[in-house]
Amino acid sequence: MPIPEHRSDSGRSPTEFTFDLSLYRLSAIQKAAYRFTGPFRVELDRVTESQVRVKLVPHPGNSPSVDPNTLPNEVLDQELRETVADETRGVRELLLAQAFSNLPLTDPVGENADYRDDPLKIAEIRSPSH
Amino acid sequence: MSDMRQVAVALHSRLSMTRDAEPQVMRIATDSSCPSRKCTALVLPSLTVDVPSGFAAYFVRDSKPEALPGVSLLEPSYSLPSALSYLDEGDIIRLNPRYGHLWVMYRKASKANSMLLTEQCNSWCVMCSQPPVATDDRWLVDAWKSAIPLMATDTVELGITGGEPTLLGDAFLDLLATCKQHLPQTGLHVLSNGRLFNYLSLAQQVARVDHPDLVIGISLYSDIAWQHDFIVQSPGAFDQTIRGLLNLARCGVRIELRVVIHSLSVPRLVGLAAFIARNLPFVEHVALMGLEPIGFARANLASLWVDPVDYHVELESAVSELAANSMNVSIYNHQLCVLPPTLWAFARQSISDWKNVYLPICEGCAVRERCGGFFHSAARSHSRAISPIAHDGHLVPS
Amino acid sequence: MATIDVPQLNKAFASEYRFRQRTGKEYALLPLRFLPLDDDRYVATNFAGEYIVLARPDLQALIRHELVPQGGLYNALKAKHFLLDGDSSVAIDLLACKYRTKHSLLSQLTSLFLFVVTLRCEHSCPYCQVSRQSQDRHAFDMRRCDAERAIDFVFSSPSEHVKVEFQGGEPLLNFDLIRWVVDQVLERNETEKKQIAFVIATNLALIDNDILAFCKAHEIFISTSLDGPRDLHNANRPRPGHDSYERTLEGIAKARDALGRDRVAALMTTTRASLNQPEAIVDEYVRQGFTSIFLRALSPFGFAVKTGAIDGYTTDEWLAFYRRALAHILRLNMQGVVFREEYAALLLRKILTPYPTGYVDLQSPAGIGLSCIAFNYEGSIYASDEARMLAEMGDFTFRLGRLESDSIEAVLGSPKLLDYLAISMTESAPMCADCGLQPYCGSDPVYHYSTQGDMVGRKTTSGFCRKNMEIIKHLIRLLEDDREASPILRSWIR
Repeated sequence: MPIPEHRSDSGRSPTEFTFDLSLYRLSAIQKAAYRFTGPFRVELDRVTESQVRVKLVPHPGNSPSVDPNTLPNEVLDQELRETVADETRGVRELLLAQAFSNLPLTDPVGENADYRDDPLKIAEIRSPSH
Repeated sequence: MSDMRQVAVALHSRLSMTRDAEPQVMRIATDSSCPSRKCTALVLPSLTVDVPSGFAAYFVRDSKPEALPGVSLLEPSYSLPSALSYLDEGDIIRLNPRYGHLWVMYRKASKANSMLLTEQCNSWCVMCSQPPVATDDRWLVDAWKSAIPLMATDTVELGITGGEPTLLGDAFLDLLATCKQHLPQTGLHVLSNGRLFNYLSLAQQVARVDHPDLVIGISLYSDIAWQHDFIVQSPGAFDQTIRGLLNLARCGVRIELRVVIHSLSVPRLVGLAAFIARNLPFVEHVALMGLEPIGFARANLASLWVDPVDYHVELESAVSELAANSMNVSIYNHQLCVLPPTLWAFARQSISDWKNVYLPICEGCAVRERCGGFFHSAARSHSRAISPIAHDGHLVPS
Repeated sequence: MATIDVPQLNKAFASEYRFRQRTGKEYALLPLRFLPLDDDRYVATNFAGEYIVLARPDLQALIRHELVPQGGLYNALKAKHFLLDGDSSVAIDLLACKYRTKHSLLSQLTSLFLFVVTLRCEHSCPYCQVSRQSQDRHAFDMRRCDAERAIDFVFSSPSEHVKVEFQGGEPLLNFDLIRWVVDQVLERNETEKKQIAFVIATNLALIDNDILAFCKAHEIFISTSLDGPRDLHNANRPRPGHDSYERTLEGIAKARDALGRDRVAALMTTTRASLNQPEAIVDEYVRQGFTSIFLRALSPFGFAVKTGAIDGYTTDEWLAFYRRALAHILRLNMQGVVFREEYAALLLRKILTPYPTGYVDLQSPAGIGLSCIAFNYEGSIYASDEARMLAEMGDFTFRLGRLESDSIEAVLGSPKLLDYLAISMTESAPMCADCGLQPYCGSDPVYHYSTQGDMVGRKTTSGFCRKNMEIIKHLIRLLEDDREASPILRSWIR
């Protein structure tokens, strides 16, 4: 992914980044920016249809303990997090249901069948010439 | 069972004569005043006429076969083969007269009595020391059902093995109940691949027997499913075994895990230990075991064998991982001289007496008494590092 | 190793390839969270709170489905339930089981009951959360009728294991009530048959043989304060006579003699004066025969804030203190001294074992009201000790009710409490919800409410968040990188 453009001096002056919305989700940018709201005042604005600018303004008086130049990496990380969340939403729900209900969700046959019937054919004996 | 080779203690023998009669399970008596005779075989030191009748069979020590009359007052009578001269009061045998076969099922003095219930198995482990046989061997369970009531009630522990014992289904459960009834003080240790416990119903039935001292020993060889499946040659076995373990735990059945160490399991040994500690913390014991080089293990020995001195790092890490999580760990079938001293505390004398030997080089080893020694079959395939330990704890250079 | 690289097995056996190909060509992700550990690495945690440390490019490859299949890292991630492929589906069963185990304490509900039997105390510690009262103000003692109702609460808990802790002020100033409560509880327990542990949190200045005999007879634990070496301890804990340290040591010795070493524990509080002498504090504990220390920061409640007589310190200052103390403790262990830091031990149990820990401040939903409850001397019921301290400052947000008038159901099922717990849960809080360390952390609505005015809190400025994140990352770095420290830390999980 291309490195977002930024301008910054050391320490006191604001740092700005511009992100392309065709590459980064807005929610990822927002969540990443949120993590900087401690040491910075965070300003977001939409520059164009497809571009969002994030400005990190250090609070007057303090040198921020967090390096503002880590924002692009944080946006990338948030992108990854959102990917994971999207892909694992269904599994998460299944896991919570399995953890807290008594329903045999992953293996109803094993849970309910009679071992004498062996519908899963576990007891099948193989012959030497498999 | 079908292994008739010479071992440290012979459990099978051929008699010099056959008879046309049904097989019978009998308890050995050496005292002729023993009251119950129907299921008892009397062992006599020598031929004599002054012997009470009514015993199921008579065995005579120290007599040449031809010295026994063809028909005698004591019937049926046999010469006791010299390989079985150790037989003593309370031992249990099965006599099959038509084949002249004598099988020592149980030895009162042994700590390693085990009941082989079937040679059938639904797995096909590449290192199996008791390769599966497909024949119908239900007579085995029947034999054990007859033997159990004859066993000493102060027997500490009995093994239950196969093949795969759970394949017997209800007959397996019935055997557990028989043990509970006749031997309530005897611990039972079942060896199983655990796969059929994928059915919760089987785990529940085992729990329902409510045996006072039952442990199921289940084998697990990797934390990666396809690798475990490969080792046991059965697709889906890992999932079945894991679900089996979870079902047994849910039903409150005590579990031990067994891992055989060889070239296919060494690479993931540490991963497996971590997997067990985190996913299966309810198991009460983990046994890390050396190969017994018979059966399939022998057929695949060149591919499977790893010298224990070449996996010290993995073994130490695996033991450490389990011990740090407060799990009970043992190392079986490894000699002390091939283990790093830090692991000696975990090494057990695990080899059944009847197949346990030491090598000539072990004479004079300072720790021979504590060491588990070798499988009889390992005489040809043991570590290159076997060496007696001097009294200061160092290996004696060979 | 990637594949099992061995000579051929006997031809009666199916090849490794036949089994390996069941994995299929693709893998699916299982729920995971992650966080930068340092410039090059991330720590990722799975649904059940197991962690793995990965290089940045590897994490990206994992999430983009670009990992080399069946490679070493792939297998490690698969075995640890970060990904799933075609050869197995039990990851779901196992993760669900592990998650349930980690949350199993929830079903146990309250198990820690704090009885503040009196507010009176003859010390005047500047950081104390309770007010200073002289010895003869009996208006500051708990009444028997309230204590009786509190005992009802104790037995209403479904928990098998219960701890009753007596606090104050100085609880020994109202020892009669302690004696009465213990007797009542034990009598009632003849039928209830719970496992009950008693603790008295005392400065030990007033301990005598009668009290010790009672403690011995009923297996009561003693918990006392030892802030460090003599000068530090006495500076932190002023007392008429300026001999708190001497009295404390004398009391510890007496208590150990009577009750046994393992029934006497000490806690420390870190003040500004402590910050530059972590090694001396640890050495003091070692010298006094303790085998562990619980390094605690000051809570932002009560006197600590009100008087301003004591300077607070920043979270970063405290973290520097903690790291130094921990390093010293690890060095001692390497020299053969068996000594443990308890907060680290707690975190390590969360990180390395399948089991939950009952520490109130590191749970989500928060432990307040759920796993602990405090009964104040004047009959109020509070969700935690900190909640009570907040009330001393005039804020009754976390008061759950009154012993004399409110039923157990009303208190424990109070919608107010449930709201606080629900909104502050880390599973849904901003930043916490996707934090890589969420499985190890907890929510502390009382802390966030009192420092930020909001129970959820803005974690970017939360001292609680920063403290926990830094300590957990520090521990993980030690586990991964420090070959001497790692086995020592691992030994603390027992």
